[in-house]
Amino acid sequence: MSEGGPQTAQAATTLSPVLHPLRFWRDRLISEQLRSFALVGILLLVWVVFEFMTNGLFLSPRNLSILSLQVAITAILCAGIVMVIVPGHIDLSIGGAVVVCAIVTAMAMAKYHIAMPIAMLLTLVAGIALGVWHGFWIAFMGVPSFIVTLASFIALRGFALVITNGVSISPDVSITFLANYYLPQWATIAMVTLLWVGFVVLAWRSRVARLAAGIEVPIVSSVLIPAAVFGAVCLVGMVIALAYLGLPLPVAILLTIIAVVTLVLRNTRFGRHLYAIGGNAEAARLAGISIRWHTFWVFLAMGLLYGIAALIYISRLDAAQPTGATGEELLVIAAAVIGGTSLMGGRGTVIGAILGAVLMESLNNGMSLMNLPSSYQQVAVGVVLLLAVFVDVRSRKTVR
Amino acid sequence: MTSPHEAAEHSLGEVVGLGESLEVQGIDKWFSATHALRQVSLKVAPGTVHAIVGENGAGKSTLMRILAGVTPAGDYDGTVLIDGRPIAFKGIVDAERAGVFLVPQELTTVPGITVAENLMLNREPGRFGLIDYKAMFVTAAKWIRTFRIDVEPTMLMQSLSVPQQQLVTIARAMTRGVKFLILDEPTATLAESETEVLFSRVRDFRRLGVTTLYISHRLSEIRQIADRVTVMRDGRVVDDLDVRDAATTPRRIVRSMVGRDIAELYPKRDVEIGGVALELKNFTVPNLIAERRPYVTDLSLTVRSGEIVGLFGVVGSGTAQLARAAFGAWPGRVSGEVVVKGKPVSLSSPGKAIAAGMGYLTGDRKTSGLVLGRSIAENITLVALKQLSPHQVIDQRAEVGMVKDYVERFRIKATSIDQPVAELSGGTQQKVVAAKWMAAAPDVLILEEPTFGVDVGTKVEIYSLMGEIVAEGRALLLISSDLQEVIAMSDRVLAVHDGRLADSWDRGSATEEAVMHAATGGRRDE
Repeated sequence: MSEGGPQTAQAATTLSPVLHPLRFWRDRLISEQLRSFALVGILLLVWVVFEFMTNGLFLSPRNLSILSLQVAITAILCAGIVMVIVPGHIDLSIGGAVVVCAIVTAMAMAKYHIAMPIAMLLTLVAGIALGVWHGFWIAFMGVPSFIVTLASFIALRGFALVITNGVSISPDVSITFLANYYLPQWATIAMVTLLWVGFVVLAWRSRVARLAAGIEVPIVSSVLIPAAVFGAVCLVGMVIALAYLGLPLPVAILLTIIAVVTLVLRNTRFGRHLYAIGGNAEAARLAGISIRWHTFWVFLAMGLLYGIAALIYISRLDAAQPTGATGEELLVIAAAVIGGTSLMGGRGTVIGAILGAVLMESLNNGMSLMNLPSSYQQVAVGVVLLLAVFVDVRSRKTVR
Repeated sequence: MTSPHEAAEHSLGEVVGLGESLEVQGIDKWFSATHALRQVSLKVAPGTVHAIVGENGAGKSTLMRILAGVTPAGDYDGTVLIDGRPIAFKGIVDAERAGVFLVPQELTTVPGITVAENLMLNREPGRFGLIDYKAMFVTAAKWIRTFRIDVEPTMLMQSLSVPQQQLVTIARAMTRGVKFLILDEPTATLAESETEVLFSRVRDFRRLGVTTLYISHRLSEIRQIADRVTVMRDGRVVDDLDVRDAATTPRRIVRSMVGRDIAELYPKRDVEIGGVALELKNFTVPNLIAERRPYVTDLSLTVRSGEIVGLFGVVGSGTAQLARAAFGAWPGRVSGEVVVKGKPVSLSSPGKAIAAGMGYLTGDRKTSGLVLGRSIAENITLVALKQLSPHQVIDQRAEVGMVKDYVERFRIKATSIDQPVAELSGGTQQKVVAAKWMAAAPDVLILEEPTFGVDVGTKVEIYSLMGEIVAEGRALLLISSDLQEVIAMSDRVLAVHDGRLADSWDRGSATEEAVMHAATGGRRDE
C-alpha cells in the first residue's frame, strides 16, 4: 500500500474483496437496481396479502387487468414528472392540465363536430401548448416552476369550469375504444418479448462497453440477475394479460412511453444533462450545458404527456368533467418519490416511479375489493409515502 | 484589565480551562469494510499545539470526530483519556461540556442572522423569556474586539467574507470554556494577515494552558505554530516528532505522509513555447454593486501554447471574477475581448467559450465543479459528451473507454467508475474535475486553485499533470493564492492588485517577497 504508481492505477479497476453480505450486494448491484428490486419485492408482498384478504379476488386476471388500466394514466404522467423532477423542477398543474386537454377533445367533437382523429390531435396540441406555456415562463422568464405550475393548478381548474359552464361534456362519437381495446395475443406476446429483449440487449451492450475498456464486469450481476428479474415481471404480466383479454391498449401506450423516456434519460446526452443540471446546476452551466433549453424541452415533453393521458382519461369515462382528476398531480409526485426520485433533483428513474404508481394503485384497488371506504386508502397511501422516504433517507445515510 | 483600552475586551482567561492532558489508546474504527483507523495511539501534552498531518483519507478527520464526540463512544474500539481518566462521549454536547471543541473545515454559520446572534447562538442572554439584544450586542462586540475581527456585531453573517465568517466560528468555540480546541484546516480560506491573527490567538491560548489540535496541509504553518507533530497514513500513526528540534523536519514530515521521498515538490517540465493561444484585451468587469470599484479594470494578458502563466492576487484582487468573465460565466456586464488562437470568443455563455476551445476548472469543486451525486464516469465525460454522442445517443463504448483512460492516467482511486464522486476524498475529487476538463481537450485551460484542500502527494500529481497538459501544446492560466506554487510552476508570473495588473516576472526572476509586495499594492522601487 505504501507504494504509489502502478498499483493504485490497478486498484481503480478491480473491486476490493469484501465480506460483509450487505456490502457484497451493494457493490454488485447499482443502487437504483437494488431499489427497484426492493420495490418489486414489497409490491409482491402487498399483492399476496391482498390475495388472502380478498379471498383470491385480487390476483384474478380480470382484477389485475383493471388494475393495470387504473394505473396507466398515473404511470404515464409519472414518466413525465421524473423528467421534470430530475433537473430540479416540479409540476403541480397535472390534474388541471389533463382535464383541460380532455375538455378540448370533448368540446371539439361535441360542439364543433370535428372528426375524432383531428380532435385527438388537437388534444395533443393543447397539451404541448400548455407545456410550452410552462416552459416559456420557467426557462426564459426565470419564474420558479413551483410558482408557474401552481398558478396553472389554480387557473386551469377555473378555466375548465368557465369553458364547460361547470358541466361534464361527452364527445358526440364514443371514444371509449381507446380504453377498451385489447391487443391480440400475438401482439401482446410480441410487445412484451420486444421489451425484454431490448432490456437485455442494453444491459449486454453496457457490459460489452466496459469489457472493451478492460473493466471486469461480473456477468451475473450486470446481465443475468437484471434479465431474470425483469424477465419474470414480463412473463407474469404477459401470462395475466393473455389469461384475460390481452394487453389493454393504454398499458401498451404506457409501456412504449416507459421505454422511450428510460432510453432518453439513460442513453442520450439530453438525459445525462438533466441529471447533471439537477445534481449541480452551476457545474452543469459551467460545463456549457444550456439550462434554459433543457428546461424548456422537458416541460414541452410533459405537455405532450398531458395530452396522451387526457385521451386515455376521456376514453375511460367517455366524458370530460371539469372537476375530474383532482389531486392527480400529488399522486404522480408521490409515486415518483416512492420510486426513489429526489425532489432536490439529480436522482430518479422512470421504472422506480412506475413501480411507485403501481404500489399506490394496488393499495387503492385491494382496499376497494375489501370494501373499505376510500378514506382508508388515502391514509394508507400517505403512510406508504412517508415510510418509503424514511427508508430511503436511512439507507442513504449508512452508505457513506 | 486595568487600562481603559483593554477594559472593553474580554479576558481570554475567563473562558479557558487549564492544563489537562489528552490521550488516545489503540483506537480502531471501521466504516463497513474500510478500516479507517488502525490501533491509533496518541498523547497530547497539556498546553501545547499539536499538529496532525497526513494525506486525505489518512484518518485525521475520523480521529478528530471521535475526540469531539461526533462519532459517539461505542462506534469505535479503544480508549480516549482526559487527564488519565477514560471518557465516553455520547455526543457533541458531552464533548463540549468536557471542554473539547471541534471547529470544522466547512463553515457552520447561519448566513441570514447577525454576527452577534451567530456568536451567541443557543446561549443568548435573555430577559423575561425574550432575547436581551442589548446585552447580546455588547457581549458580542467585546468578543469581536478580543479576537480582532474587523466586523460589527450587527452585520449580517452573509455580508462577511469567508475568512471573517471562519474567524467568527472559531471565536464562538473559543468563548465557550474550551480546554481542547480542535482546528480542522482552519487557514484553508484565510489570507496571510488573518492567519496571523488566528495564530496569535492560538499562542495566547497556549499560554493559558489550552491544548490545541491542529490539522493542516501547510507544512510552513506547522513550523510556525506547532510544538509537536503527528503524521498519519492509511489510518495509522507513522511518525511523531518534536517540531522545534529537527532541522530536517519538513522533509521528514513529507516523506512520512506520502510514504516515499519527494525529491521534487514542484515537477516543472520544460516545454517548447509556441504562438499566442489566449489573449485577454482590455478586460473590465464592473462591480455588481453600483458605484463600487470594478472587480477588474482594463486588464490585458496573453498565454502562449505550451506556457503556464501564473496569476497571483490576494483575496479580493479580482482574479476569480476575471476567470469567470473570460469564460462567459459572469452574470453582469463585461467589456473587453477574449481571443483564442486568433479567433474572438463570444462572452455570452460558457458553452460558446468551450466551443472556442476554452476550459475553466473552478476553485470550488463542490459548488461548481462536480455533480456530487453522480458517478465518476458521468462527471469525467460531462463536458466531452458532445463528441461521444454524435446523434444524441451516447456511445457507451467510447465513453467507458475515455473514462478508463483518464482514471488510469490521473490515478483516480475508486472502487469503480460508477462510484458517486461524493464518496471520494477531496484530492481524488479534484483529479476528477481535472480529468473532466482534459477530456474536453481545450486549447486553453484556466485553472483556479487546482490544489486547494489537496494533500501533498496529490499536489505533486496535479503538478505533473499540468506538465503533461502543456506538453500537448495547450496553454494554462494558473490562478492561485498559493504563492510558492505560482512561482514554481509558472513560466511567467503576473501579480494582480485591485483588479489591475501590478507587475510581471519571467521564469526564475520572481521571488515570494516581490510578488507579494506587488500584489498588495507596493511598487517595485519601494
